[in-house]
Amino acid sequence: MSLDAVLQTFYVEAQEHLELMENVLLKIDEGECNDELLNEIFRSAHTIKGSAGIFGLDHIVNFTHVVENVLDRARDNEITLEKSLVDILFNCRDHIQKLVSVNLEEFNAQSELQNIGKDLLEALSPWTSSDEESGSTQNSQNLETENKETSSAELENENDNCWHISLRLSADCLKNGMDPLSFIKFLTSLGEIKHIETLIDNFPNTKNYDAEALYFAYEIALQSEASLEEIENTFMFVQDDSNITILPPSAKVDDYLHLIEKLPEENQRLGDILVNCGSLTKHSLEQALASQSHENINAEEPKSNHKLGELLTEQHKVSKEVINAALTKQQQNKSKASEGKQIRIDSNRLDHLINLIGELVINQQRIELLSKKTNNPVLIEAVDDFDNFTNQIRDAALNLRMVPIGGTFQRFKRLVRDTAQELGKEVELTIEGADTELDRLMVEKLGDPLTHIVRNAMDHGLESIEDRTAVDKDIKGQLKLSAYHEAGHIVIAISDDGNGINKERVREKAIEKGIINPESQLSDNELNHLIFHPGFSTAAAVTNLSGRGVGMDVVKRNVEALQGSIDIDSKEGIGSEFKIRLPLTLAIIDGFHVEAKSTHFIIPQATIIECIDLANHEDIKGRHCINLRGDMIPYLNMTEIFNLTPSLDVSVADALAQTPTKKELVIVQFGNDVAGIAVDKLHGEIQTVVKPLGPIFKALKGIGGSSLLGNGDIAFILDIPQLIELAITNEANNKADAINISPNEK
Amino acid sequence: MAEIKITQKRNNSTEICISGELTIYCAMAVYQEYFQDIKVKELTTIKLNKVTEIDTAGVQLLIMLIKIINAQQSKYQIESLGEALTDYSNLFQLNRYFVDFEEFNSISPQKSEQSQ
Repeated sequence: MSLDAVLQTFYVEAQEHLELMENVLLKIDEGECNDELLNEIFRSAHTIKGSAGIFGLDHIVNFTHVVENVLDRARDNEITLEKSLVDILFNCRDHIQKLVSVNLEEFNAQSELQNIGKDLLEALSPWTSSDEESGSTQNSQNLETENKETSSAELENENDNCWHISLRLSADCLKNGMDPLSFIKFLTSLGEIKHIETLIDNFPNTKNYDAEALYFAYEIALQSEASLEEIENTFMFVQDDSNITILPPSAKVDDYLHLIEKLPEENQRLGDILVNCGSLTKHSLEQALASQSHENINAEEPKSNHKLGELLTEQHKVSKEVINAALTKQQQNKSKASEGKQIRIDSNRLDHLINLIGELVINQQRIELLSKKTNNPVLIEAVDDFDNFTNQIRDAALNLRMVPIGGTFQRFKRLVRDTAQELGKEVELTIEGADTELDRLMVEKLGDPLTHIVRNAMDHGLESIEDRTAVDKDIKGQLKLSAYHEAGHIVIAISDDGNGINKERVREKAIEKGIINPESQLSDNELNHLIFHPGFSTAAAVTNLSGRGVGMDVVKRNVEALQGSIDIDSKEGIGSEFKIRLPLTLAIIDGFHVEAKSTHFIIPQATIIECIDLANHEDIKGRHCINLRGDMIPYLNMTEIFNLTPSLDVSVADALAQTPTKKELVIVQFGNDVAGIAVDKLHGEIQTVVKPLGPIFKALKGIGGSSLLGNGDIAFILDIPQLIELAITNEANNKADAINISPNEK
Repeated sequence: MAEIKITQKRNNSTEICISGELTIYCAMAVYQEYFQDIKVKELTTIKLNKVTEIDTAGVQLLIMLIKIINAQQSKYQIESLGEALTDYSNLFQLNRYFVDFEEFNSISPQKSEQSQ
């Protein structure tokens, strides 16, 4: 891992901790404040500070240190997190986020950022400890001078406070851009290094010497009030392949002896080093080593180190508290081990894997096609097995890209809180279905549309406190974000209990803007959808909240770009609900292969209800509509919609073989709408690798992408929501035409 | 990149003058080009006052150089450490290697290699 990669990890982790801080602050803001939350937020601030210190990002360290101090005081119940302090802490958290986004040089060049930091620290000052105010500039040198003047008795007490850190870092540490210098420097910020022994025993001979490998080993006595976790965090970036032992001030002699046994260097020499560090006295070391050898000589069987440990524990009477602490630590380590099952990988690598699996799927289909031509049953069976495994690999790989929507939803808590404050409204945000998983790419692209809908709901949907009181509603407006699965799609719903869309006003505005004719008769749904029309928003309606250049038309466009659709259900005086429907994934889908006039199409399988023979059903004359078990289903003829003509390479015989009247109908559903798609041939299920169409085809309605078939032909992936919309519109027009032409017919 | 100047003197001594940045970026090149096959005389003087920057790879390189000098039964003497090395040496409490060379000489190179 290079230094850049390690820094990248720092940025990612800092972002995670900042999100965690925000979530905790939101909970505290809602009145939930307990030790666990305080510890959590303190640890986040501390980790950001600690990691930044390792990279020498002093601007982050200096600011976060004060925030950490305030949080520490809150943890110790010295101060309470009152509303005004929580507000400042929200701003401090935002400031840390800004600090993380700039390096030290950029920070030094930005006086505005520095001033914001100063103002925030000033605002925090009533809650910082007096030590912090007077001693923030105190450095380790001052400490050293003071320490020199301490009496020997005090020195003894100090030694009681000494941690012993044994570092055998990975040999690749330097090559990976991690110099022990940074860790040791950072340790000085946690306390005072009483002694450090740099061991050179591991140096090889001249021939084997690698000038970029780390040969130094370190034994460190650190006098510090820091916790084990804080000290451990110092080495978080080099833990892999390193041997790091941290013994607390309460460690017993046997702990040190275990350490000596564990380390590669000569026992006596290590013992002397520990004595030099002040971690062991010469007397206790000699006694313990003597006991160990005595025990080994007298024993009939060779005794394990564990026996030595027991002996020494008896000698030194380990207290119950120490055992309990050790057990707790063991539990923590176990939970850490289970956390360690997660790994962080570059999303580009994952995308690359998905692309490769896409190619694998295409090739598998080609092999399947070729194998069928051979009529060799053994080969066909083997290819079937291969197909089965390809499907499993595909599903497993696609699962890797799925992330819970909860992370995106959580971010809205802060947005809702701040927007509500800005608007002087009271809003309660409810989140449901946070565990619902969605393709990572979609989660990333959903942020902006969701933000706009949420802001709109708060700005235009939810009424002011006075208005809500006047209509006898709870003064606290309700906003709900929910996610759930529905018919192979993910639905994300944003609902509020505001005043709903005023359809009359929408109609007036649409007429005023020339979007509709004054004579137009529009259904409620059509009126609602007018808000997605480009240019519908008026300048007067744009506020600093909803006028950020993303109109509802852009929201719709963004959702459609994700092969999704957006619906509105609004009732005046009761509230509105925006439903975004999205496919589960964008990369590889289960499709249904159909053909019309030698052009191949793929229908996403999740949308298909059934396939029927069109000839067997009553076709309502002139309306492209069939009666299916009593339901009127509009359908689209692919040949007509896309003006398809038979391809030139289709032979006359083939053309004759095709019965032009024979039509198959695939019934599809999206949301509550059902429609049919009339095609010439049904080929069956197929795994479809979705390839985006070039920008030139953007205007083509009804096509969502393309795919390569096993035989090398191109197939177009149908955009079912758009086609259903088209079928319904056509059906309405046909119906109107039919009425106009012959009002008495049917 | 550090600059290395090695002078074999008539008074049966060798002078090694290191200047510039002695860091991981040049450690390999410096070692292979200058130190790996260096032949030193009875006394080796190492001048480090012009070292402007040093990191752990640089300090390890100096320790290795001292080991090579010791292995050739030569005595070494460091002249003026320079600020960068002094800071490093103070932080890591390495003064016995870079100042009190008599003590370092007492650690026999054979013993160190045996303990690996």
